[in-house]
Amino acid sequence: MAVTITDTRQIGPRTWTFTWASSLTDPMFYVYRNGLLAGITNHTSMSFEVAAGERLDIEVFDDADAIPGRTYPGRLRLGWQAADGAIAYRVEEFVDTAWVTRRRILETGRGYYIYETRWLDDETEYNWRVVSESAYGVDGGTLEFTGLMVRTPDRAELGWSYDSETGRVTLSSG
Amino acid sequence: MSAPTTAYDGLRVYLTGASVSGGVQRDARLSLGGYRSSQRAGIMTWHRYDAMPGLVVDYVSGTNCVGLGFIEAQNDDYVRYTPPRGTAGDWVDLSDTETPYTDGVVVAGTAALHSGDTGTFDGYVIVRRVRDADGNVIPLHGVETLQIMDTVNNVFGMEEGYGAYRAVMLRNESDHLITQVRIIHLLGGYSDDIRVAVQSPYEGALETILPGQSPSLTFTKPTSYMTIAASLEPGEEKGLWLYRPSIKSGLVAATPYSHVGCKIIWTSEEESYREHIRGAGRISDATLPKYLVFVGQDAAPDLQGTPDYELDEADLPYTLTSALSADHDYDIRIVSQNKHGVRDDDEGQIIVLRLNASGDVEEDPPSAPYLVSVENDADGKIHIEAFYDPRREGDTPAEQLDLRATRWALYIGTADDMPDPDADEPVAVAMHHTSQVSPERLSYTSPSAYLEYSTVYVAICAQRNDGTTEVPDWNQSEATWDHVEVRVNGAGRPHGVASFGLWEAGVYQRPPVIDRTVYIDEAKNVYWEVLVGETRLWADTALVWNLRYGGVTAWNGLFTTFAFQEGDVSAVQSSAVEIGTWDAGAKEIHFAVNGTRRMTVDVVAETVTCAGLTEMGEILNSFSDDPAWEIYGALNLQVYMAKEEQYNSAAALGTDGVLALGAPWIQRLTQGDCL
Repeated sequence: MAVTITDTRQIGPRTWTFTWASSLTDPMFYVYRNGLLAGITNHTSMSFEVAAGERLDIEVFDDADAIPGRTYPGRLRLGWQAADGAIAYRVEEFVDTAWVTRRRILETGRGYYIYETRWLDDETEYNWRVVSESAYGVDGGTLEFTGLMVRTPDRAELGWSYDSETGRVTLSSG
Repeated sequence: MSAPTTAYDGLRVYLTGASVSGGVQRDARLSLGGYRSSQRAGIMTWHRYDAMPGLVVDYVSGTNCVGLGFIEAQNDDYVRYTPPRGTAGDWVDLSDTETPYTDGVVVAGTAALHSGDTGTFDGYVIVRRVRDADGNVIPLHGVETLQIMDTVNNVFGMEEGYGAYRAVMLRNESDHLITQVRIIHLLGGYSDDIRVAVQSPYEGALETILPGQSPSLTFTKPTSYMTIAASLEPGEEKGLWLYRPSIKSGLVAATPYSHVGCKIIWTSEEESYREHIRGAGRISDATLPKYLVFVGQDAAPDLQGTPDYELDEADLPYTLTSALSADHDYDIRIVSQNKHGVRDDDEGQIIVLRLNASGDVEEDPPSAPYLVSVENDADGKIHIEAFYDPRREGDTPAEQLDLRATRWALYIGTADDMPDPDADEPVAVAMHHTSQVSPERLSYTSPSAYLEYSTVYVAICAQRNDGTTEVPDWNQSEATWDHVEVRVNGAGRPHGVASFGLWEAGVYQRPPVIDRTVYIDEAKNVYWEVLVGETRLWADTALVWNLRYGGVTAWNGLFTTFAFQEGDVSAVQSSAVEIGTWDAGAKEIHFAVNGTRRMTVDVVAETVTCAGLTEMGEILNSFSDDPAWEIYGALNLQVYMAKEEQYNSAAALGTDGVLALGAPWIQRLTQGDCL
């Protein structure tokens, strides 16, 4: 049981397509993006969009028991179950001194909802919440998430110079 | 059917810190003794995929460990559960009119840890049915997946900055006596960085501490079974204090995830049950250096090895102490690292230095020639064509002029004597426009003939003199290769004739036309610029894209500064390409397939909008020289290929609005980068 990523191709400004193959016959594939399940499929390719500065770790298994390797992604995935009487859910981020609405998601009877946050800064604590809205325009229960984002740090962008007299490199602030 | 608060769920673990027993206190950081909270201690985190309508997952036990669990439904009312790496349990009937809707139902299967313990045991979830907005029963069907994960900073993993002690309360929620409640550290794969102490509540409350304080108890490392309670009557509670030394003192190396886990076992009605309490905390080290520098001489450095230098922001500017040696290539990597020890170590910042014999840095070589073709010429000679673009050498015209190549270097050989651009002496051909930055074209015919049926290999490089006129130092590009099998009577492009009838009126055979401008709207100066190997779409002075095809891989691509925007475009449009709104707010170019608009370019917003992008399955040769050639079911965007002397459809817009690309979409920052 082995899956090989056979092709990684940029098909758009922010979109990559991954193609893979398995040693098994007609297996089901379990596709993980940055450690989180992105899909269960019998297809052998999938496309992913990324934000500026984001890195993409894709792992594909043909075994449901396999566990993805450890990654340190920069997004939070918020998930919540449907609330009685809700017609919509407001996803908010606490910025400076106030809650800022990032997305309003309609209640469609799906039972469970997922929201992926924007790309977040490393070593920074974030507060997010999901507020349910009733048909009467009244805010209902609130589900809060607090997390210290620890992700793969941004690539260094130091300035540098080389002195051919001394043969030494000097690094400086970028 | 197993109701909650029985069997597996008979003994529950709650947070503490409430002001009254059973009061609301949901913060694991404040679970510091006092009264039991109504909030269960969250152990696992789970996400639901293809969630089953009408079903809520209220709890996932720690015995599931991490991985994928599956809930299946059948016959509208039955579910069963398969824990990660486990086997499915029995089908459970949820058709009861009350319990599944109020308290939920425990559904279990046989679980197994992927590490850390031996044997098998039950992993379970508590599910609850819900009705739709009108109060109707929602039939259960399908399969849903749970991705189950450990929880960072829960009451067991703890959290830096909020003390290293927590208290939870165990409570017998069942109607039966529970006996032999014991705890032991989970084996393998888990940090043993946890100590426990048992405390009986006094008048319902445990001792209370403030964050950072410790309770007046003696803590024990549970490496062997330790009794929490010999027995618990229904409703009886027992306090369990937890302590993580590393959270307090940073005894272990910084890490983003430090896992801990214990199992609690008990007996009820002669059956043995268990729950795993587990979580993860983060451990930081403010003294970790921010930058790690690795130096590789004539090879890439090992980024997993010991860094050559470590420095912080405050150390900048920082001079690397070891001098680099002349006549070597250096690959220097700067890896950033955060306080939790996570590194950007897949590549890092790259600094490449090629030092010549004098210890000076050699400039990068010129870019490689492209659209190279080698074909038979008369009498066994070969003819070579190639292009070189000095605009690839820098960002400004001055830089491009300074760094441009000035001559071609041709390495010609046969299969028995392959040319070697690194060792052979080339045939040098001067470029024509060395005081300009316009593209160069090579047209070279070998002076001598080659043996018929032999294969001649040609490697072509561009060279720049980095020395002096008197003592030249030719800096050479990568080679671009092509080959041809020699034919003295060479076969080339087919030639033929056509006529309207039996005699008199032959059809004029028009040669392919390249290097031309095809206007979409001359008044607005919107046009195609058709060149060899590339077709550019211009909107006055704005380049929408440059579609290149037919050269080496690096040549090919749809080069653009415009952003792709996914969206449905639909309107009646009779011509394949037409101009839409054209003012300061929007300048639109519309593309249609089979009479329906499917793609729009907005020159003001710098966007290309269509239903999607995909990879083209097959590149079509074309008999049309129209840069936008409409056929039934597709609008082909064409590029002229010199070698084949005809147009090819390098991209095609389909009736579904998806733009299929025969070459990758290459996003560039500036227009100049696309040319």
